[in-house]
Amino acid sequence: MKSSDAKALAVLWVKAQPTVASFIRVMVPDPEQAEDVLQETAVDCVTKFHTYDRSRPFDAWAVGVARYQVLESRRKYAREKHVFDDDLVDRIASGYQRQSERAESLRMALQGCLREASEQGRRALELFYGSRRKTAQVAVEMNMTGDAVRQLLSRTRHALRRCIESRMAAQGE
Amino acid sequence: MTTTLPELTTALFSGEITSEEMDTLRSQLRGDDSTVDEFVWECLLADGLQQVLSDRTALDPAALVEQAVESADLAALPRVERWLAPAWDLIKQPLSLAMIVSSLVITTILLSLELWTLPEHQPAAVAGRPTFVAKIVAISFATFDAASDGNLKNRDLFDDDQIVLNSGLAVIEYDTGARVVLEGPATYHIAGANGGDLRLGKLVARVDTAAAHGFAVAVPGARVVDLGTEFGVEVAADGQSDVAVLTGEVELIGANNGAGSKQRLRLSANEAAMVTAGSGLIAKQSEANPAWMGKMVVLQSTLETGTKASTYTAQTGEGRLAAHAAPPEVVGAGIANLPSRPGGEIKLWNDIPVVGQTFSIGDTPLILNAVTVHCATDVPPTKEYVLRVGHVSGDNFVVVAQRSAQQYDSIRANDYLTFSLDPPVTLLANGRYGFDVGMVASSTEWRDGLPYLFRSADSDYDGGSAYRSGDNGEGNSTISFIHHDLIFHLDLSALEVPADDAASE
Repeated sequence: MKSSDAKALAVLWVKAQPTVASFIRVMVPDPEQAEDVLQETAVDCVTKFHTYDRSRPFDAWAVGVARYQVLESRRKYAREKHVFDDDLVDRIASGYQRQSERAESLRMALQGCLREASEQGRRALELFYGSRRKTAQVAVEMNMTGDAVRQLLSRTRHALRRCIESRMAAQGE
Repeated sequence: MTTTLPELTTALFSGEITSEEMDTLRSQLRGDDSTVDEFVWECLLADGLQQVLSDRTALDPAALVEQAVESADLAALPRVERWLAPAWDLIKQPLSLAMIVSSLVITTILLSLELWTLPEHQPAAVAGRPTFVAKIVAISFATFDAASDGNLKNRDLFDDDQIVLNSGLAVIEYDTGARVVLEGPATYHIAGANGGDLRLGKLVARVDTAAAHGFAVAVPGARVVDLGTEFGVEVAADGQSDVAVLTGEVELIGANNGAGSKQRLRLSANEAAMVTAGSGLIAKQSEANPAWMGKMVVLQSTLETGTKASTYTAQTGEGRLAAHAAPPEVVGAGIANLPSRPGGEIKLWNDIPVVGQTFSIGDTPLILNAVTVHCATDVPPTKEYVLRVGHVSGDNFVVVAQRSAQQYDSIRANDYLTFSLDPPVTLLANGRYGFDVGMVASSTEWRDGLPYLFRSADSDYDGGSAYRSGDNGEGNSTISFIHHDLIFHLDLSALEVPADDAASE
């Protein structure tokens, strides 16, 4: 690979990886397998980079490469139970490709919007998403019922989403 | 039961989704594109929350793509690329007894008829003049010994050259077409135009050209002579060797047994033997040890996928240290904690832990060019410091780059000490990093002056915290936070897409 291509790819990949990784994590629930698929996707992106049309979004192209690797990994780990069948993998990959342009804006807005979340809501998000606690564990730690935690998470996430969308709208997204 | 898409997505991410809910989710996703887009949006949000709120460090994209480029370059080598499939097939197929028996019978008959004349090793060197015989055509995270350190890719190898590979992989291509993949730690000696001596470590060789027929690898006590094949060899630290054939055949020729004859043994695909170093005794094994064969396959598969078996080696090198009376100006993407008054001092010496500071990177990746800290004391030369930069996750520190720097001139109290990073270090968006400074050596006594770094009065930098790590002036992978911040400045610049320089190449 030419060094100019390698540098350009490196910059594009650094920006695209969160979206590609998100797609893979949804498709491949096992974290270690998901990392393997991500690594293989990166290698595939390098070897196929000459086929990438630079006038089109790189993130969407990389998701397409990841889609192929997800399907490949299923053949390798055939005994694993799949969350989605091949048809749904294709549909969801297409969804990620359509949303790839907005994904970075979402991540950027998310940080700011988290600061606006209520203290209790943020605590619930930290336990549920950050520490990967189950709802029942969050309920124990926050001295709430499971239903109350679910409602709190739902409200907080809804508020986050409104905040993110309004920030993105303000930026013309 | 949960039925809305956001709730179903949440349940999916937490692993709490029931099979009934999963069916509902699948059914909804078979609807129109807007439902799929909605689901993707929820996934991106949930995934973003997991990444932002978790202490776990995601795979470093910059390191990942660097590895991918290297491994893709390796995989692009035409012959190497074809290795994996047959090797996997061999591993997957149990060795049949009939195959062993038939190969033994055929081997015995052929040996007794002396149908094969094995070419002996012929040194290629002409007296007084080295002969080019091979080249290192690819490396992957390879580190070589001090004498030959550096990027040896494309380096020509001559008869009698020795390669000491401390870690990683190196692919050697002989002029005859034979290829050897060496995995460090390994010591390999180029022996003639079509062979080598493996003194330590493991290799896989592939010989598929007529010119390379008879390619030989010497191990302590024996030689492995190729007869058109792929084979793996490992030499342990005690000199004992394991040899296995992946495809084709090899002949093992033992050292002279004292009676004027040499022990000879042919091995076919998936057969293996052990060589005892001192006696040169060759013992055939009933079948290759699956775990050991697995190692050979990993070596091959590394060439294919690049990243599994090789270890990421942090950037290391020489740094530069400069002292200035004033702090650097905070420009561009720079980060600094430069309060008007220091709040205290933290000592550096070579019998205590290193001192560091964590910091956070915003929404765009950046390049770290230099790190500056504020020195509180007069410090006489000569001293050696080590600056580390690494990922921080919780109290875990993973080194990304490390530089040693010498202090040759006196440092005065209140000087700002700038460690320059050349090459600079890429820092990823939304990442948590740390830098630390340790003093590892001094030519003067502590009584003559020792470095203290200024810290702020309180924890007034929001993006991180000061910490200590390791001991004896050397940091390790665990950090202990201090409720303060160092006084520091980071010279950061934006990571930009370079102009296409293809024309200049």
